[in-house]
Amino acid sequence: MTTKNVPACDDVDLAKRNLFRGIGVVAGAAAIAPAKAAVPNTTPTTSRRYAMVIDLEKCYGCHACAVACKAQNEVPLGVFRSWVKSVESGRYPDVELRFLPRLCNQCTDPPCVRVCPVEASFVDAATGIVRIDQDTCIGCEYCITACPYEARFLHPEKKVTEKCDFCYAKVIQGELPACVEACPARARTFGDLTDERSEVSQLLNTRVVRTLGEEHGTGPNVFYVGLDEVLETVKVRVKKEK
Amino acid sequence: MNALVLYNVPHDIPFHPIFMTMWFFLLSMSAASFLVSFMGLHGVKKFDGHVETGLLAAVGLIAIAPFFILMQLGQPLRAYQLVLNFNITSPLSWGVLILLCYAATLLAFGWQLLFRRDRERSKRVGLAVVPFAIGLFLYSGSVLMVIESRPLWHSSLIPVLFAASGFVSAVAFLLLLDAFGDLLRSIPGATWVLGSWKESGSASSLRGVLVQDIALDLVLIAIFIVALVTGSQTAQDTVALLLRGEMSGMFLGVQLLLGAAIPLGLLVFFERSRAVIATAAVAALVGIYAMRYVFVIGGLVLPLS
Repeated sequence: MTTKNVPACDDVDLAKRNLFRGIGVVAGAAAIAPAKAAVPNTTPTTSRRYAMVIDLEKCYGCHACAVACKAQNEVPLGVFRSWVKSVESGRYPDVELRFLPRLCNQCTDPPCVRVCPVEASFVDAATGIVRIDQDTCIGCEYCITACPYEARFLHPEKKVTEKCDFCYAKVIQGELPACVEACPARARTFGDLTDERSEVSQLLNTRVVRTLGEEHGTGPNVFYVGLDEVLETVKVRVKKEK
Repeated sequence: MNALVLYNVPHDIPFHPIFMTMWFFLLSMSAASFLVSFMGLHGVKKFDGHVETGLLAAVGLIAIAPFFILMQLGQPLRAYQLVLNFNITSPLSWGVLILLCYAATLLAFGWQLLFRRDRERSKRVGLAVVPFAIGLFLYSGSVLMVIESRPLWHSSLIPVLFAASGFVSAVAFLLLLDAFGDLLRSIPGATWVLGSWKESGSASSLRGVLVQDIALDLVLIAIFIVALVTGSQTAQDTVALLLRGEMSGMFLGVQLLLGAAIPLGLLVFFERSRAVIATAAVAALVGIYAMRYVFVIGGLVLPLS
């Protein structure tokens, strides 16, 4: 019995020591927490608003962004998180070819989030990125119908909704989204709109930018330079087709 | 159409064409069947012979309906998330709540009516079901109505249209039961359940109700189309889709001709034989299913820009 109790007493002492040590660590952390918060925060816990500006005058339709996105996010065949639309117009030799890169617009007021019955779609408070909790998503596809940009799809294997999330896993590590890194024309600029010195903020201040589907009032965070010219090409083609 | 040119990535239609349409079809039909039963119980003469059959139809239809919504889910085993999570801005969340309350109160109503045989108490319990039955109409319409970007869906007329067409399908279904009443009565125990069922008399009263409901449905659809024609370019493209596009066969041929014009003609101009009534009821049911298909799937056919 004694020999059995000794180690038991030691265990109790050890447990007590660990408990006090734990309390000490928590108390210490609590004490230094305000001091830490005062230091400029570089982690994604601060409230940011990530956005992308795509210069359509630079895009020449190489589809590198779509390929990089597929590779980065393991997007299966037949579906896309990021893609490039081509619009042809005119008749030979007077022809025109325009490109419109597409992705989730990371709306400020996203209709997909409003309609999700299980709150699997949400706006990440730290980054402003619209994300999907794939463990909660039931794959009802209601959000897919609600998105005015048709940026969402049902993953053919996982059977849950997917879409572009600005490569969230890379972005919170301080890296750029795969499409931005891959673009050889440097047509895509990514950054934080709450930072006035960021390149995206400066582009929004110096260039004429527009968003797709402004009439939906969703507040997209993907901006285009030269969008009017591309849409005009589309209109001309539509008129001729009619 | 701008969108068609813009999209050179294949455009997919999210909802399953049968599961989602059947879900809406059965929900509305169940709610309307209950209301027929409830009104019959409260002495509305047109429905007084359909208190029991209306109730049985409501219970049977609501028991089958969840199978279709589960099949629609990519992850049906996660359906419990619908109960654990509630998004106040999502009509689907409200739908789950309404459906559960409707099913529970409907069973209580059925218990009082069929097993307790207490008609006075059934009336009081039935009152508790009414808001949820109306809620089911509103829910099935609201799921489509709140989607701002789709002109065929984004209209406050949709819930009204779904309620009216729900009544058409419920009355047609009850007429069909009437037409095959002998067959139904041959089921063991049916006579006990269908105690107050006055077969021939109620059939003639329901004929008139079906004619009125189909006429109302047609008026609502006409208003809806006129509103679309005078709407935006996308709304006009939607009308073109219904009248001469991919959906025209279903809309003009099945929904309006087979589902409305033929039953109206049969019920108004032909003799009141069992075959005629059954044919008109089946045609009306097919028409209302087509209506659900046209509105649910038709709203998804046009790519968005």
